[in-house]
Amino acid sequence: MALNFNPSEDKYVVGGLVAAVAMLVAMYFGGQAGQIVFSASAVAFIGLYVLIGVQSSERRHDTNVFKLMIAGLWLILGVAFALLWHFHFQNPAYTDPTYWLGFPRATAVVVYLLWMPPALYLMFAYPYLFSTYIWDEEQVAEFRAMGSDEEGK
Amino acid sequence: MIAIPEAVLAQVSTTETMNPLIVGVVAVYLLGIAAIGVWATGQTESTSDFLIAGKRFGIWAVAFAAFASIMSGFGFIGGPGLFYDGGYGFLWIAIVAPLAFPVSWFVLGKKMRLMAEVREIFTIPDAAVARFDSEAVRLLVSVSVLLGVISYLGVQFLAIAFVLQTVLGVSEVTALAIGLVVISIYTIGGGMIAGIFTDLIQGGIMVIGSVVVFLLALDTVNGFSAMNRELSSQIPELAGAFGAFPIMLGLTWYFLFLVGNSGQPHMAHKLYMLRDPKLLKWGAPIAALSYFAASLMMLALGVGMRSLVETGQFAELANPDNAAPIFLVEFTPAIVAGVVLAAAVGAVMSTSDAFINIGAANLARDIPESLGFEYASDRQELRAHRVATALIILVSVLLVYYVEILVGLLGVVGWGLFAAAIVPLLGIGLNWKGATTEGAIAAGVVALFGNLGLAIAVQFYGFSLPHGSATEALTLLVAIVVMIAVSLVTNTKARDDIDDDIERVIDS
Repeated sequence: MALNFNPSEDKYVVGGLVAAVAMLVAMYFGGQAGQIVFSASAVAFIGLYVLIGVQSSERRHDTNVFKLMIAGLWLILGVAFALLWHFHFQNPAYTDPTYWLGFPRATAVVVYLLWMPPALYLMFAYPYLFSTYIWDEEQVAEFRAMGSDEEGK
Repeated sequence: MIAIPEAVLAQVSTTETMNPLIVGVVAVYLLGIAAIGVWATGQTESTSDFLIAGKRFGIWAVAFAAFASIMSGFGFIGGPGLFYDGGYGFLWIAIVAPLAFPVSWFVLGKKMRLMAEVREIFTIPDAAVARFDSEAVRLLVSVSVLLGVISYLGVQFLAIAFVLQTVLGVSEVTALAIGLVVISIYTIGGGMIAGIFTDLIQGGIMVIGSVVVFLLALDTVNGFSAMNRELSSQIPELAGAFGAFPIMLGLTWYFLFLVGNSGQPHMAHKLYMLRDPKLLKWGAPIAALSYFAASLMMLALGVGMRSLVETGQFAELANPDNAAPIFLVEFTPAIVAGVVLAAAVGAVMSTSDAFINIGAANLARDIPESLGFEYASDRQELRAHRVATALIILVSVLLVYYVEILVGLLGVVGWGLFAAAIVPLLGIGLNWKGATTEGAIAAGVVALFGNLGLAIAVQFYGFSLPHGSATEALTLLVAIVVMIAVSLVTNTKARDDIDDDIERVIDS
């Protein structure tokens, strides 16, 4: 059976496959190590999933801008999860916790770091990159023409 | 600051007379939604109008509709209840959507819209069959979507009955009947044109209502700091990052709801409806920020209510889902309570109308086409969709009342069923030329039978995954692994075997 594998086209997908398998293994073993491995693999998968979605734009424009974007996302999520685990494992029962901005520190990390910073970063990256890398005038015209052909059939 | 009544024992009940102002606001809202339905019926002249609103809407309408349909009764009513019940553990679902929307936009936004440009595509199974050229794929996705739709609708109808019963003080059956009449008027007649217009209004009310109630709730409990210190002094774990839930459950929820967002047909389907693909540009921030604003309420209100109960300022709730309505009635001005309860009805209705439309398309288009049936004319197909819409509503109501066990079974797998079926096929399949028909079929089988099998095992045999992980996350992961692994060793409809127009979409 011939392998349907093209390294340049499939690198993100294979990376996603490795991350997904790592998540499954972490779910099975659990424990502190499993929780950390699962969160790290999930963060990796999320970035790779976005890269799978934009790899055609990346190839067409021959750019590393999307890799840089995902590196930024990984940095934000990586710092947030590292702080979360650090504070959570310091006091997993949350008895007499230290508060940050109204929440026990680990909860504060979820509320103030995991909730909106990665979301704001990625949601504004989309319109910022849109006209240059995602959707240009030439493509609009090309697909309009294809749509007209389809309707004419 | 609003005065807290001493250990108020009275809970909102079906017999309690609600403030007339609250009833009036909700009644005006329902009449307004029904009026939009009547108007939209006149605008709906084709199957395209009915299913994808004739690709006529701008980004505000589409992004608001996407956020409003994701923020269902589960979020607006169940969310505060889960925060009340499990403390901050529910954050692992609540915080996900603002990041999930841009992820979905990057992965699917352009591809889904372009699919509608190059082919006559109205539904999610349409897109799957265009990519993989397989009626088996269409059937697997259609059945998964149909089961998911029925499960969601059963739960949403119960939520409509719950909210209207609370607000109007009528019996559950009367409340459900009122809600269904309004939904039927606008979904059977106006299809997605009515759906998008009402979602826009419902989404706007949700955002404004949520922000106002968030501020009022914080004022009531003297801010986050006082609220959390009081909660922590009584039950420390509730104030923790994972609340009362297992850590692995929170983490697997995070993955499931983040990546699974792009597999929700009520979200992805909206992308077909944009009048111009270039309008996609601002969709992610609009949908994400709207969801963020609309989810603030559930956080402050659910945890706030629990804090009041734990410190003896309020009687324990018989049902955690009462957290939102009781807080609104007891602690906010009547006009605010009316607007937010109307928003709660809106949250349920916006999700319901999306599912009714998707389910009708399944019954009238996807499943007949997968069995080789073709309509003689567009008018005949439109009529069939209207009949199917009525049928979906009727079947879902009957299931709610007569096959309760099925609703209970499917109710827990809805999101996971959609995610496991659609993320591999479209999220990966529309972006990776190596994806094959065999991989899609294998992933579709895992999604459908894996989710149902695990749901049966959990419901009837007390099965649970090690460490409390979400079973739906397991099936999503396995479906993704199977899709990629099988595709790597098969070839049908991969790379050079892909139709030219679809290949150009993948390459775009």
